[in-house]
Amino acid sequence: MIDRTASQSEEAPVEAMLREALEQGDAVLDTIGPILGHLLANDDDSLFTDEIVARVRGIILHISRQLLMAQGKAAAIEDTDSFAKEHAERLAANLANHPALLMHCHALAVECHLAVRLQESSAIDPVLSPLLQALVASDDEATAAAAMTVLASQARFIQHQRRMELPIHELPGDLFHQALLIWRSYAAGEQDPAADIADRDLRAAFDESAGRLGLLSRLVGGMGSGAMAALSVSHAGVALFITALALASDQDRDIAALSTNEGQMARLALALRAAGLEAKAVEEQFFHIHPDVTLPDVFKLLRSDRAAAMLAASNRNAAG
Amino acid sequence: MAGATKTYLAEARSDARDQLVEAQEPLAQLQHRCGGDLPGIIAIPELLALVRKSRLYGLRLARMIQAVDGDDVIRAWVEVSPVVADGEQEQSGCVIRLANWQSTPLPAEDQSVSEDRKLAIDRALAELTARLDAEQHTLSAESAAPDLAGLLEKMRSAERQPWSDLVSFPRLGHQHPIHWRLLDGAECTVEGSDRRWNVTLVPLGQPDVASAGFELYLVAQTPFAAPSIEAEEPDEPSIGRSIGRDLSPVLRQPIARIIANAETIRTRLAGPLADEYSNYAADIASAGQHLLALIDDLSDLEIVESDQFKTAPDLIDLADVARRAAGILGVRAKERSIELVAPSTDETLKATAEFRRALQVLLNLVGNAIRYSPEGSQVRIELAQDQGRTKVSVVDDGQGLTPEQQAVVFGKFERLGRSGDGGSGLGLYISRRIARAMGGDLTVESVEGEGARFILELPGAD
Repeated sequence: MIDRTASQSEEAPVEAMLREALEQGDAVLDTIGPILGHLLANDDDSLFTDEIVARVRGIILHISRQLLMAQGKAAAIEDTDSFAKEHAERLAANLANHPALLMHCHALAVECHLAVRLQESSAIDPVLSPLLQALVASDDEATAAAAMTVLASQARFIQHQRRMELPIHELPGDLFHQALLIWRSYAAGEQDPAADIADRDLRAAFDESAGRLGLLSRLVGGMGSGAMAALSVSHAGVALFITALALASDQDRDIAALSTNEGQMARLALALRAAGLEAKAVEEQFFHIHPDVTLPDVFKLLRSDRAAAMLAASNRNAAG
Repeated sequence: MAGATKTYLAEARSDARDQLVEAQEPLAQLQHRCGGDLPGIIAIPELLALVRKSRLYGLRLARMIQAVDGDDVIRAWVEVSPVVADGEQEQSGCVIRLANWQSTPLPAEDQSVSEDRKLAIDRALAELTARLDAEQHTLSAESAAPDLAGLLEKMRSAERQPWSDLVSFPRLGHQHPIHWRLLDGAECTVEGSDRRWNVTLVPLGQPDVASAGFELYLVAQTPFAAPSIEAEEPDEPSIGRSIGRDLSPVLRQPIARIIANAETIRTRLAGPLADEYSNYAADIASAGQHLLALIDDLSDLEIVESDQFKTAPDLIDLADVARRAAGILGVRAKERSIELVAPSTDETLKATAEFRRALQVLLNLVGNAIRYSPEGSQVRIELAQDQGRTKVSVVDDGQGLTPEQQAVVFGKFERLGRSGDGGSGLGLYISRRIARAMGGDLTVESVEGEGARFILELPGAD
């Protein structure tokens, strides 16, 4: 309590402005889940682009189908395809009711959308960025090997996104667990022993460290202070940029990805500042991501630690 | 899927209760610096959360974790795999693999934040809390600690006395009054408590600091342990193994010099001196004497505990031994106005023992009796003979011993709760060893409040 009054008194005008913008952004973030769920259920959108909504729906459906295929295989059903087809829509509807899962899929869709957009506008390769190229050529064998696996998984990711797919082992551990729980509760009563086997096999095959997100964060984490280089979207590419931004500003990666959205400019500016970028470098990132926007001059006055404090005070640092 | 072989900095294993069973460096050190043990429950918060999640989900998880090891922020990439033992449904724990160890200095924390946190911890842990006025007189005090009951009583009753007079500050000297800024953070000892206490004083009042008094918190350095009454004969600490033989000649000489020089200063042999300094010198001399006595005890201890310890039995007159002991300690008894009653010169009692050792035992018994008897009382040395056994008893009118105390009084380093009087707790232990080595024994009979009778029993003259 005492801290809050103390910090308000030393607050610069720019902070009040940004705080307000951040709060507005938070309100939007809070409504993403319900709105998106509503849009998916009613096939009527005006707030989200058709492309992103379609991609999220496709991804959820793909997750649903993979779970059902695993179940059908374990139950030794002859025509697993039609078994999966039969249940896919209904299970997908259940999965779409889980806000964190939905938000993750949405964040991935937004990330891919941004990557493709930057390729067109700024010629930033969505798979092989200059930074990744340098890392692959690194003298350090471990770094080079890690960079290679990132390259491969990023190429797969873009490919899957174009097909509106997401292999379930690419989900973060928590969401993978949640998806399995939703599937199990949907499948309750039907071929239970088979579902048990499928559940066990799916869990045994899961390895978070082999997923793209794990590989990205391991690579960026291994760069130590050199991770600052990944905070340039033109140099690092969208995937590494978002991972580095999340790590440096202590935000969930999904939140960092969504902060590249037009409605989240305050969060993006604060996160970049909190990550330690100078105002000029922040402007450069904005030039790529939001080419039509110029940052207000007073932004230069915002201190990095104050930016981090404002972000930390926001109630939206974790997805879900 | 990941084709390249991964390299790890360190591996560790946890068990089904999330105890870290084994860990390589640098993880082991981080575990210790986070306050954990090895083996022990995982003390790194984010790692513990990850391991629990991995066990709960039955999934291989991999994350960046962050921890603070005291000075640095550690960021590391951690992969956790649950292990399922063969033929069992339950997981037996996790394998933890570590890569990308990055350590950066902890950003300087706002001093007021860390002070607030320290205060919050002290408030939560304090076993005595009190509100003081501006002169540090107690307004109210609360404590539930059994060993602080005495202090609490005194604080509540001593209204016009600063609380700091009721405890002692071993590191602050004895000048009073002590400024509160020195007291804050100081270490103190409390009568009746074996523990050491840290003081936290929070000044209250604006704008003049401490104008509205203080909050006082005493935080113990160790948790309270109820004193145990059982005598533990075995597993005694084996101090003194080499002190007696190797160190005591080396120690004796410098200590003797310290004592001699302190005596010179005390008696002002080298010229006039303020009384205070003379008194300090007296303290130094008596502390030196205690130290010398302790060294004597320790070297005796080594001798009586060695397998080769034998006495040279002889035909001796116990009455003579008793009279000599009384003669040697007569001055000390007089100092304390204690009447020392020795056997009369016409008494004799022949026994088989080594004269020197029998005298040593009696000196110890009579010395104890003089030290712990009330002033003006009587200490008697009595002789008796019974079926070829001879007995010499040292009888006092002191407080006596409870049955519990009688059970432990011959134990090594047993002080019966006394401290600060220069005793080593070895005298009776050594005396009994000597008595038994001579084919006799040393026992005690006592009723609490009615004095004690220590009986040295020896073989008679054959």
